[in-house]
Amino acid sequence: MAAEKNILVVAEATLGKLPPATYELLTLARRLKATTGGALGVVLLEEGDVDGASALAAYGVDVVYRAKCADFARLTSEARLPIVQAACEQAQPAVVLLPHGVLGAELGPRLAFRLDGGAATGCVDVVAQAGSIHCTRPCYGGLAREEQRFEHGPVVATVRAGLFELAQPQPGSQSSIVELPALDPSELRVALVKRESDAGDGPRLEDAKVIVAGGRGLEGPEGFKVLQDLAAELGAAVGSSRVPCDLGWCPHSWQIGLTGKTVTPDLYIAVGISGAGHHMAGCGNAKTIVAINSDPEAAIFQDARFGVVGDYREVVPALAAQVRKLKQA
Amino acid sequence: MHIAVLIKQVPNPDALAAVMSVDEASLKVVLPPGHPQVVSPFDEQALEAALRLRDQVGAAVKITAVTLGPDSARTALKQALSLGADDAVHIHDAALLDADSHVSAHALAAAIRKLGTIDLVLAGRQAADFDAGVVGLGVAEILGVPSVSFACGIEAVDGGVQVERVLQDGFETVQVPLPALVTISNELGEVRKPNLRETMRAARKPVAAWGAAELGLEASQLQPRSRRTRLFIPQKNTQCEFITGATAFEAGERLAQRLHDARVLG
Ligand SMILES: Cc1cc2nc3c(=O)[nH]c(=O)nc-3n(C[C@H](O)[C@H](O)[C@H](O)COP(=O)(O)OP(=O)(O)OC[C@H]3O[C@@H](n4cnc5c(N)ncnc54)[C@H](O)[C@@H]3O)c2cc1C
Repeated sequence: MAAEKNILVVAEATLGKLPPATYELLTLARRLKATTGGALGVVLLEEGDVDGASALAAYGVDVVYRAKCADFARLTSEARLPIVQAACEQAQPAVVLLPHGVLGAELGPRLAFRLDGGAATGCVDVVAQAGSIHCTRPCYGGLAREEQRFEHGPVVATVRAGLFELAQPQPGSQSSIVELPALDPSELRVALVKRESDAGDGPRLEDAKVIVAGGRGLEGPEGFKVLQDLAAELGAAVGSSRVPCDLGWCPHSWQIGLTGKTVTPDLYIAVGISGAGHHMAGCGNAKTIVAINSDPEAAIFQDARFGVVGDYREVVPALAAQVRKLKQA
Repeated sequence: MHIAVLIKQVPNPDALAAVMSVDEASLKVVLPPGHPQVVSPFDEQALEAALRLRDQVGAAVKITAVTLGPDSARTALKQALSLGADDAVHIHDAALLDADSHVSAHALAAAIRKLGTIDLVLAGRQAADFDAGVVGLGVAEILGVPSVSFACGIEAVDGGVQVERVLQDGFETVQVPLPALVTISNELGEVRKPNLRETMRAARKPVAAWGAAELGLEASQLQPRSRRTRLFIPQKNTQCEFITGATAFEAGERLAQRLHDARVLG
């Protein structure tokens, strides 16, 4: 039984840096570990010759399972599966935590079936209680939430971004390092042909403190120019609901929501967005939501702290101009 | 090429917000009578991907639609047949009605094995009810075939398929040999409508009904990994403060001042 108390976090260091998601997962993992009394392990996939393992020691990690690879960034999730599987065979985890991104959403379920365990995707919470693991996750397009109980593990959970504080270093912690066997690329069946980025050079949506997002109410691609002027004043990133992406008004990587990005800015300004559950699933955890919409009955006003009813073509430029004046004052 | 498309029937996910409630005791979603049951939109796109492969490769592509669900799920199969699927399998068994992802994936994988040589399995990236995105990838793992998720384009190439897939910040193209499983995302684009000729033919296309016994499912495969212990609609307690003005322009200016005063402008 003792073996089934351990918690394992899957982390990936590109260019020597761990993403914020790793530190969020460590906060959750430490909370789980405090309940189960097991060990906290991290599977660290490292690109090149950087030393991410020693950085992790300060975060209350007991064991780092490390796999080095020259070019992780160019490999698909298939390449990661045997490595994480090997770590699980050693760590015997009750729970495996991964970030809920494109990689985790594919790796997580496959890993769960490979280990004959259970999978919970897009979780907003994971708790250990009376010998079982409970996962809470949005469903029905973000309108409802379900809680699932897993009696036996391992439970592989992918966790949404921005819900847990970043873990802080703990004095006096130490971890041991276990080297995992290198990956054998000859066994890979999915081969990368090419990769293209459609993200602009502005702030990344995932990291932005302020986001200005537009929806169908922009009524065309020109609407995003109006939003970009406001975003420039606020140092904000620009995002969108699914409709403008589908209509080709903006890059698809701007999509926020259930099937797009999950963002947690301090300020989220939704312009011409009706506030469908599918959209709010990606931005509902923003600290302050502001809605600008011509329809006073729009559902978005139920989620917004501040609202203006009106045509964005008038409201947004006025907002931008006044923000500039306030900054200069 | 023989393609199996996994489809699930779900309550129409558009316009659910206004009508949906939850019975927290029975852990079921409650919908007004007559709320339409539809093929989950991502699964419609998976079928569309199969039809596009047939457009590319020609009549040698056979498409089998497979669903796991109650009696009503037959309508979903009929829709697939009227769009151009050649035949269909309805996995239908009281023992499977409340299947979790583990049991569902084992049932679907067993059906695919029973169908014989399937070259390609297509599924939606997630079902539009529970939004999990687990079953398709589970099927791939059980069958031991490679998987590619979040595809927005697929075409046949020598010995396999070339798949364009959606990343967080862009796209990538990968090649994978067959047999393989690919999950399809909404970026695949518009799906075709049923045409009259196929709809007429659909009535005569075969629909097999298979139960757990016919699929040879073992007790351990029928044992769920998870139980739903709660289903609820989160409460919203935000009060919106409406900022007004003589004109929309003035309201915009006042909004700036209000956000500044509330110290949310940073
Ligand atoms: C399975 C599934 C997954 C989905 N995933 C996502 C997702 O990840 N992200 C997402 O966003 N959506 C997603 N959707 C779609 C979602 O259900 C909604 O259809 C979508 O979010 C609506 O986008 P919208 O608010 O921009 O458009 P609409 O709902 O059409 O709203 C437009 C709004 O603009 C307002 N407006 C119009 N003109 C003006 C004007 N001049 N000035 C100000 N306001 C104006 C209108 O009053 C209206 O409220 C998904 C749907 C499904 C079925």
